[in-house]
Amino acid sequence: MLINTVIFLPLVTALVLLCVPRTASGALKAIALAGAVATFVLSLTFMSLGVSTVADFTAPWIAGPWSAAYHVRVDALRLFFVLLTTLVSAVCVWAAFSYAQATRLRGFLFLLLTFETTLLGLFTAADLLLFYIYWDLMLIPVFLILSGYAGSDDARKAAWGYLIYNGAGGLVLLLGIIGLVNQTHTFEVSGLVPNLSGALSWWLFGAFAFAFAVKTPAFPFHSWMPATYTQSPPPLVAMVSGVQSKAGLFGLLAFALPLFPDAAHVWAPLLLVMAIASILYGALAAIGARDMKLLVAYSSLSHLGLVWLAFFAFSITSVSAGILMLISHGLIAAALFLLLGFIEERVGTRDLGAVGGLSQHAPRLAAYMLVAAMAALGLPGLSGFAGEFLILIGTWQTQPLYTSLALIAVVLACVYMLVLFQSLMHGPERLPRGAGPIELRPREMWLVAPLLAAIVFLGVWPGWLNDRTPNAVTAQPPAVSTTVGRHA
Amino acid sequence: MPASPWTIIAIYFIVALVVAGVISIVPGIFTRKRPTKEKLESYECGVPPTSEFLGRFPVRFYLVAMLFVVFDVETAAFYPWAVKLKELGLFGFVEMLTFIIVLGIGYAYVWKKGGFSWR
Amino acid sequence: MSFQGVSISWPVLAPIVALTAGGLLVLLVDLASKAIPRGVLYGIGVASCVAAFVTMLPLYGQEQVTLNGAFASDRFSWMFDALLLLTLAVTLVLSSLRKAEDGGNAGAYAALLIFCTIGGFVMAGADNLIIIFLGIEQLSLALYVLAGTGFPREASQEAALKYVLLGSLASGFLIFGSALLYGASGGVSLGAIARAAAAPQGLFVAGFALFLVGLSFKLALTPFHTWAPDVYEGSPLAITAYMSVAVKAAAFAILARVAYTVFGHDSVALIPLWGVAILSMLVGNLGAIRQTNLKRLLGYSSIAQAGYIVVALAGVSPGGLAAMLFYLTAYAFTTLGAFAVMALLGDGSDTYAELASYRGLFFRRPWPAAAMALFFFSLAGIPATAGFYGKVLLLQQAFGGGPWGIGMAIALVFGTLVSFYVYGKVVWDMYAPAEGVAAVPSGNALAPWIAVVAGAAGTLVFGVLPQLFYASQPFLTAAVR
Repeated sequence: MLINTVIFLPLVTALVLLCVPRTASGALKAIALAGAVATFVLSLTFMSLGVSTVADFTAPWIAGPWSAAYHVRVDALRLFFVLLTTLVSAVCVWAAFSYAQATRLRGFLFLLLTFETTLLGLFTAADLLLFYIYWDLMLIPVFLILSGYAGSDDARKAAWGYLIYNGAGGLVLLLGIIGLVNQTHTFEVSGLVPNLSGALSWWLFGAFAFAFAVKTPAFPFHSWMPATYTQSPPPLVAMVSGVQSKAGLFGLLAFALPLFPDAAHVWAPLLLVMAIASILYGALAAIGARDMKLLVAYSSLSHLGLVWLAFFAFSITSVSAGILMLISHGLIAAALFLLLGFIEERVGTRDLGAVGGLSQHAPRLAAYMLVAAMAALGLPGLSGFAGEFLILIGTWQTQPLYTSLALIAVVLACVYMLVLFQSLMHGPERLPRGAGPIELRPREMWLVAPLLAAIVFLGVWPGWLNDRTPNAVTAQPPAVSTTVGRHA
Repeated sequence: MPASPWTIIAIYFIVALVVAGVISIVPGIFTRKRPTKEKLESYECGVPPTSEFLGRFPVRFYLVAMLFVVFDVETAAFYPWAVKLKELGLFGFVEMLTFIIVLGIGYAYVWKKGGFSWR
Repeated sequence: MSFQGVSISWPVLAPIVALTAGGLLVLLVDLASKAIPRGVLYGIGVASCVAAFVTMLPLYGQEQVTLNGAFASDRFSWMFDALLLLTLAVTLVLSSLRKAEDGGNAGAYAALLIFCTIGGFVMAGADNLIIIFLGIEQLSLALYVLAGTGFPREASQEAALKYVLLGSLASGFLIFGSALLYGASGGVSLGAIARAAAAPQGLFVAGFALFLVGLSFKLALTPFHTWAPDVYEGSPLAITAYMSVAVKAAAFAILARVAYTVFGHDSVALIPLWGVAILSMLVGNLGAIRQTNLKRLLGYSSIAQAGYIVVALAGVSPGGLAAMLFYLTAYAFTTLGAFAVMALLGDGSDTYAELASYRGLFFRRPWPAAAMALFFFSLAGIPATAGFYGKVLLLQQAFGGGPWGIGMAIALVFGTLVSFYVYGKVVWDMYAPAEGVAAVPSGNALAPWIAVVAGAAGTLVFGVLPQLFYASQPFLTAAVR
C-alpha cells in the first residue's frame, strides 16, 4: 500500500490544490510543497529494499481474452528511479514558486504534481498496460504547461513538436505492446519469456526501441528536444530532462531487454551506431550552441547516448554503470537547468554572448554552477565521473572501437561545459539593461542544495548505488544478465 | 447462350439502352435544323407560354404533394386489406385500426398546426 | 400470438411499442394546448425512453427471434438498443435548452427524434433485408426533417437538402443491392444470403457491393463521406450529436450482423470494407486538420471514428463484437459529452461552434474547458480514458485480421497521430491567451451540465475500469447467430 501512497500522493495533493482559491498563493505553495516533500520522505523508506525484498502490490484489473493487473513494484532497479523522481519533483515544485503569473500558479503546480504521479507510476509499473498508460499520460501535463503556462509563442509551438513526436513514439510502442500481448495474452510480462518467432520479436523490439529512442531522445529522433528544453519553464525542463528522459532507458531495462534478448542482439549494431551518433553529435552541437539552455540540452543528448552505448555493449559492468549514469545525469541536468533558469529569469535572455562575468556579484551562484558544470563534464569526486568511468571500463571489454569514439566526447564535454561556465561567470561583467540582482536568493540556494548534495554523495560513494544495480539487473528475469552472460 | 433467367433481363437492358440511344442521337445527326423563335419556346400544348420554364412556386405545393403521398399510400394499403378482411380476421382488423389511429394522430397534428391552411 | 403463420412475440416488440406510444403522446399533448411548455414535451420524450428501457430489461440475455426470424432480439441488439436510448435521452435533454434548436416546433421535433430511434431499434434487430431497409428508411426520413429544423439558418436548410439528396441516393444503392442479393440467393433473410455467400456468383458480388456502398453512405465512410461535414455543421447541435452517435451505432449493428452472419473469418468479400476503413481513417483525420468550426471538425472526426470502428470487425472474431461495442459506448459517452459542453456554452447564436470563441476558455470557464479537454483526449485515445482502451481492443482485433488487419492497424496508428494534432489543437486553443475573442460563450444551464458530468464519468470509468463493461461481454461471443 505504501507504493500506492507514494505514487498517488502528488496527484491527491494536486486535487487538493484545486479546492484552494487560486488567490491564496501562500496556502497553495505550502500545500504543494508539503505534498511533494512528503512523497520524497515516504519514498526514502524504500531504501531498505534490496534484491531479496521488493515492495509489491497487485490487484486484478482486466480479465478475458487477455489479462492485465494493476501491478506496481519497487525493487533494486526501480528504487533509484523512484528516488530520483521524488527528489527532483520536490525541488521543482519548490522552484515553481517564482512562477511569474500569480493567478496561474495553481494550475502550474497542479500540472507539475500530476506529472510527478505519471512519472512515479511509470517507474513502478510492472504491467505493460499500466506502463503504457503512464507513458502516454506524461504527454498531457508537459503539453499543457508548454501551451498554457510557458507564456511565449515559441513555447506554444514547441508544445506541438513535443506532443506529435512523443505521441508517434507512444503509438508505435502501443503497436509493439499489442503485438506482444496477442502472443502472451497477458500484460503482466515481467518474468515472462515469451516464445516468439525471430521475425516477430525483431519487429516488436524495433517498436519498443523506437519509442524509447524518441523519449530519451537519441539521435536522430531528437528534433523535438531543442525547442522543448529551451522553451519550457525551468521547473518543467528540470523534470523533463532530469526524470522523463530516463523513461525510455528504464523501459529498455525493465521490459524490452528481458522480453526480447535475442532481438536485442540483432538490433545492437544499429543501436550502437545510434548511440555513438548521439554522443558525438550532441557534444559537437553543444560546443556550437550560443543558447545556454540549448547547450545543456545537447549535452544531455550526448550523455544519454553514452547510456545507450552502455546498455547495448551487453557487459554487466557497463549496464549497471548505465543506471548510475542515468541517476547522476538526472540530478545534474535538473540542477543545471534550474540554475540556468534562475539566470534567465534575472537577465531575460539565454544568449551566452549577452551575459558574462556574473561571478563578481554572485559568488554563490558561481559556486553552485561550478559544482553542477564540473559534475557534467565528469570531474572525479562528483557523480558524473563515476558513471562515465565505469561505463567506459565496461564497454571497453566488448566494444573497444565504439568506446574509443565515445572517449572523444568525454574530452569535448570539458570544452562545452567550460565554455558555458566561463562565458557566464568569468570575464568582465556584461548584463542586459534592466537586469536585477543576480545572486541566488536563500530559497533558491536551499532548493538546489539537495541536488548538489546528492551529486557529491554519488560522486564519493558510487558503490551505494552501483553495488546494488548488478543485482537489480539480474533481478530482472530473465534479465540482461543472461544476455550479458553470453558475451562477457 | 447460358440458360439463365437473368440473360433475358440483360438483353432487355441492352436493347433498351440501344433503342433509347439511337432514338435520341440519330435525329440529331440527320435532321435539318432551322430554328425559329417559336420552335425554341417551351412546349405547352400549343398555348403561348406565360412564364419562365424554371419558375418559382410556393413551397406549399410540396407540402400538399407530400400529404397526398401519405394518403395515397394509405389507400393502397386499404384495398388489399379490404378484399382479404374476412380471412385476416380480428387480428387484421385490430392491426388496421392501429394503423388508422396512428395516421389519424398525424392527420390531426398537421391540421391543428395549420398544414392545410393555404397561406 | 401467431397470425397466418407469422409468429409475433410481443415482449420482443415491447420497447418499440413503448417508444411509438411515447412519440404519439408527445404529438397529442402538443395538440392539446398552445400553452404547453416545451419542457413538458421533452419530458414525455425522456419518460418514454425510460419506459422503453424498462420493457427492455426482461429481454437482457435472451435469444429470441420474432416475425418468422426477420427480427432478432439478442444480447447484441440489446446493447445497441440501450445505447440508442441513452443517445435519445441525451439528445432530448440538450434540445430542450433553446428554441433555436427545434425551430419553435418542440412537439414535432421530439416526436420525430423518437420515431428516428425506433428506426434504430429496427436496424439493431434486423435479420432480413426488408427489415434492414425499413429500419434505415424510418431512421433516415425522420433525420432529413430534423437536420432542417434550425431553418432560420441557411446552413440548416443546406444540411437538410444535402442530407436528403445524398441519403436517398444511398437508399437507392441499398435497395438495389438488396434486390440483387435477393435475386442471387432466393431469399431475403440473412441466413439465405449466407448460403449464397458460400459460393458467390457475379450477381451476389454486385449486390453485396451495392449494399456495402449504401451502408457506407449512411456510415459516412470515405469515399462516401462528402455529405457529413456539411450536414454536421448545418444541423442543430443536438441533432448533430444524435447523428454522430445513434446513426452510426445502428448502421454498425447492421454491418456487424451481416459480416458475422453472412461472412466468415477470411472472406474476400469484406476486403472493400477494409479499404474503405483505411481511407476513412486517413481522410477523416487529415480533413479535420484545417477546420475552424467545431461541429464541422467533429463531422470529420466522426468519419475517422467510423473507420476505426470497422477495424473491430477485422478478424470477424467473437472478441470483435465486444471491441466494437466497447468502442461505440466509449464514443457515445465522449461525443455526447463534447456536444453537451458546446450546448452548455452556447448562446443560441452560431458562434458557439466556432473554434475561435473557445480561445482562452480555460481561464474563463475552467470546468467546462477541462471537461472538453477530457472528451477530446478520449477521442484522440489518450490513456485512462474510454477511447484509449477502445483503441487497444481495436488494435488487438486488427492483429487478428491478416495483412489487411495489419494495414488497418497502421492506418489507425497514423490516423491517431494526426488526430493528436486535431484534438490537441482544440485544447491548445482553449489554453491560448484570449485576446480578440469573437464571443464569450456563457451558458450555464443545469440540463447540459448533467450530460457533461455523465459523459465525463463514463469516459473516465470505462477508461480506468474497462472490466466493468467487459465483464459482462463473454455473452457476445454467441450473440450473433
